[in-house]
Amino acid sequence: MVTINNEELRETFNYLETIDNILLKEVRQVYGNKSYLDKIVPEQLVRVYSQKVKTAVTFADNLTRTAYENSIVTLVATFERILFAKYKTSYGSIKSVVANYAVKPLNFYKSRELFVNGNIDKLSGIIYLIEGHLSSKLLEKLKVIKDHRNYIAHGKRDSAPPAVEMKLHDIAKILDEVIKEIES
Amino acid sequence: MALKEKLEKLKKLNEQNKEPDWEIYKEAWKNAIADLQDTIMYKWFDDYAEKGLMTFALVPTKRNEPYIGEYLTAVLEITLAENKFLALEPVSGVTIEYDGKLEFYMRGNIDKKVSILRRVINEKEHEWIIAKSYDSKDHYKLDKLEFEKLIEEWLQ
Repeated sequence: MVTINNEELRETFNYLETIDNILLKEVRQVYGNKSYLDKIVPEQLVRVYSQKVKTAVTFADNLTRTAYENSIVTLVATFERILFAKYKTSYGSIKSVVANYAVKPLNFYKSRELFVNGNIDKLSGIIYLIEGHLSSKLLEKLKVIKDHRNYIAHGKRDSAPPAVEMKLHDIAKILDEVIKEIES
Repeated sequence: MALKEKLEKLKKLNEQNKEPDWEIYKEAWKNAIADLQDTIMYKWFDDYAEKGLMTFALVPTKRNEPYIGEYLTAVLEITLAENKFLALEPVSGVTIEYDGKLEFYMRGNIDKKVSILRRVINEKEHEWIIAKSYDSKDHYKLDKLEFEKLIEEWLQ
């Protein structure tokens, strides 16, 4: 049982875990009875993959793998949305403090604006921003998740995959810990 | 430290930072996969195959990966009785922490899956690690015993 504190992340994780659970149950059925696959695939795929046991279970494996990869991208997207919302809010407060109290705020103002609204539009930017505020262990795990997400999202073309894939609940837990650290 | 030692240290650092020759790396990776598959089929599980308890098939597969590009390799399919299939599938010649990765899993049971990782020791040697989870405490050196133990666990 995993406890995810952030409401938005928890909600996304709950949906993804439910999809995962449904898939697990359905795939088990396919393993016992290859024709079961015809009950869950779209009409045009009926009898396409269900003729041989090996083809049916291979299809089921690929289905599970695709769902897992999509879940990683979705979880990280939710995490990014939460973090960017936080940084935009912080930026708003900083902007007014600087405008009211700084003598010559222009340079800081500009760089800050560029920093938050311009360059930092990706998870790598967020990591750059929070480096030093997280424990090295947590940061290392976050980087592994980021690399894994990029590997999937960029078509497995331009980066290496992680040696071992984390479980979905571990990824959610790590992302939740990062949010907690930033909030504290 | 004497000058010679310092120069040697510098040379070593330079070698470590040098980009590998990816063509040579790719060949080594392909050979390592083939060696592992041969070890499993003809050394570790030879007895089981002779008694008809396992059958092996090498299914050719083409991969296209970052750094090493396109290459041909094979998935080792192990068929047990009662339509149970095990697959040893090459995934990537380069990973973030290791020097290549295969996945070993039972078809139709996504929770029955481990990573088999290659760690290069030097130009001529490498070792295989079996990783059950992300936690490094769950990483063991791969040998016949560990491999058998794993399959035994999955068949329970």
